[in-house]
Amino acid sequence: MLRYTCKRLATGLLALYVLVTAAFFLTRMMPGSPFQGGDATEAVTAAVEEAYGLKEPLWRQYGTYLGNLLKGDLGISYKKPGVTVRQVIGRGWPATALVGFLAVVTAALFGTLLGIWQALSKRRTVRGSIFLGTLLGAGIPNFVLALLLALGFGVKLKLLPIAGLTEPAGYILPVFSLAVYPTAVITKTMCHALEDELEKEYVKMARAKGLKWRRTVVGHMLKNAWIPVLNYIGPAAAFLLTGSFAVESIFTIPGLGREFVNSIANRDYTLILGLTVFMGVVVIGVNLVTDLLCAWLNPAVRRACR
Amino acid sequence: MRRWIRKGWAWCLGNPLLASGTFLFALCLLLAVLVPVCAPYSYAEQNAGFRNAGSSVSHLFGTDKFGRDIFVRVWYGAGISLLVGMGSCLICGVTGTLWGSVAGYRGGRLDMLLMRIADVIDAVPSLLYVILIMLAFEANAGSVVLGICISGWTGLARVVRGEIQRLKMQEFCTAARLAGARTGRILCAHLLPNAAGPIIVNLTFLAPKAIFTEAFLSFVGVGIAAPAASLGTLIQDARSQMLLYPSQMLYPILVLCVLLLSLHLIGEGVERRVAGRKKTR
Repeated sequence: MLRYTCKRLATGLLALYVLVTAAFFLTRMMPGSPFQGGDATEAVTAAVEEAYGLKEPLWRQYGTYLGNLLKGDLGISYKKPGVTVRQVIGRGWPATALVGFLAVVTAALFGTLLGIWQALSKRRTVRGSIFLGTLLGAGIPNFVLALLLALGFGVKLKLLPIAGLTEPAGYILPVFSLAVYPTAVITKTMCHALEDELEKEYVKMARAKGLKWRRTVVGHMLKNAWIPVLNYIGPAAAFLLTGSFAVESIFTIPGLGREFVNSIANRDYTLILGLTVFMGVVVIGVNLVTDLLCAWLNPAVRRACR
Repeated sequence: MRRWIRKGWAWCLGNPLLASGTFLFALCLLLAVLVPVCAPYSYAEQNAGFRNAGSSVSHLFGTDKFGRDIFVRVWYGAGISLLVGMGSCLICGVTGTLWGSVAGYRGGRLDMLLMRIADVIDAVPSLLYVILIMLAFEANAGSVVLGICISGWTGLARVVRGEIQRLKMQEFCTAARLAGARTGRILCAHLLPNAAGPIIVNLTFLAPKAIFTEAFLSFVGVGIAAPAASLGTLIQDARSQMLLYPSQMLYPILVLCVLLLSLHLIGEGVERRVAGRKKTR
């Protein structure tokens, strides 16, 4: 287990380093100066660039950035005077994290239930309609769904609020539009896993020794079938974070996704860089935790890694 | 050749998912190719006297706020989506197959190294890389494909590696080696055709992912630059007038969803065929 943990930790750190490096050099490659425009003369632009340290050689800038990063300093925003990237993240993270967390929980809950239902139902109509649902859920992009929901429930029917998170009901539409895709994926994964489990000997054994069907499913099969679902939580976190770009802009939620989209529109390079690095850290962290959890639950994963 | 077509036809017909998916996809492909060529308007042609018009015979889906024909723009955008989807499928397919087969066939240190590289690339959501690439390079379809291809091949490489590892231990492969076949020939003639099923399944699911990424990027505002239009840009443009003219947004949404659904249908159909799940649900 220790060996596996070290290995995963090393991969995670390396991935983080690659991301930081790639992100740093890509943002430096972006055309134009962040301080161009307006009435600024060339002398003024040059002076401001000098003050921000952009005139130094690239490798030194890179070294400074890495050094500051190790201290947890992500720099200052180029476009919002006097605001550090850390402040922006501190303000935006709670809303994004809460919406994302609610979406993950919703998806895991409904995905598991629907998957069980689809795999074990004896009625063709039930299986068929759940399958159709997963197909639609996986096929419709999250931003399209968010727009349609905002238009339908918010504007036409006036049932639910579509802007901000000031009241609890404001969470429903954003969480729903983010949760649909992961729910579809989890349903499919769960259904396939259960169908595989159904054919195994231990299920027959459990039935033969007189165990009730419900206990067999919940006590034995679910334990095994849940591992692939747990594996998916990492990619789901990645999907939710990037999905928040569109969903938060549509529902005007003051979170990281909206900050990211705004920083792209403003060409606020340090903010783009900082948010990219932060999201990378979150996703790598979630992946690490779920992988370790899987390895802890399932010895086969640990052994395969040797 | 005719035998192949007939075979493919029979393959599709036995599977309602695959048949309906292929039909929808073919329809989209046909319209995306024909409409921009045959229509009397171009996608960027503005007509100031004819803004925000509803559906009519001359403008099937109406016009937008600059008087551009939405029908033509929607299918032009669908064409770009298809181009991005197919382009990234092709590049990711070649890269992933090569990477996975080398790693799986050689094994040992090289395998470890190659797969760790894939892990490192895979650890971060690809959209983050893609957005940075879009900002750093020119905002056109090529950059989108480049961005998608940086991380899109890793899943396929894993699948191919697993299949090759499984197959190379089997007797027909040993026989080929003993007969003196070279590595390239063993891979191309013996191993990869046997691994074709999982590869095709993986690629069919890669295409909708690429199309989604492109639409998402354009929607967020880093996708294909004006005057060129993609489905994502069309949806974003119509958003400001969503309350007054919802149809301007709904048509591109409809086409995007049909396109993605048809590809998902094909993917599910192929997956079932390959996995040998005979029961059609």
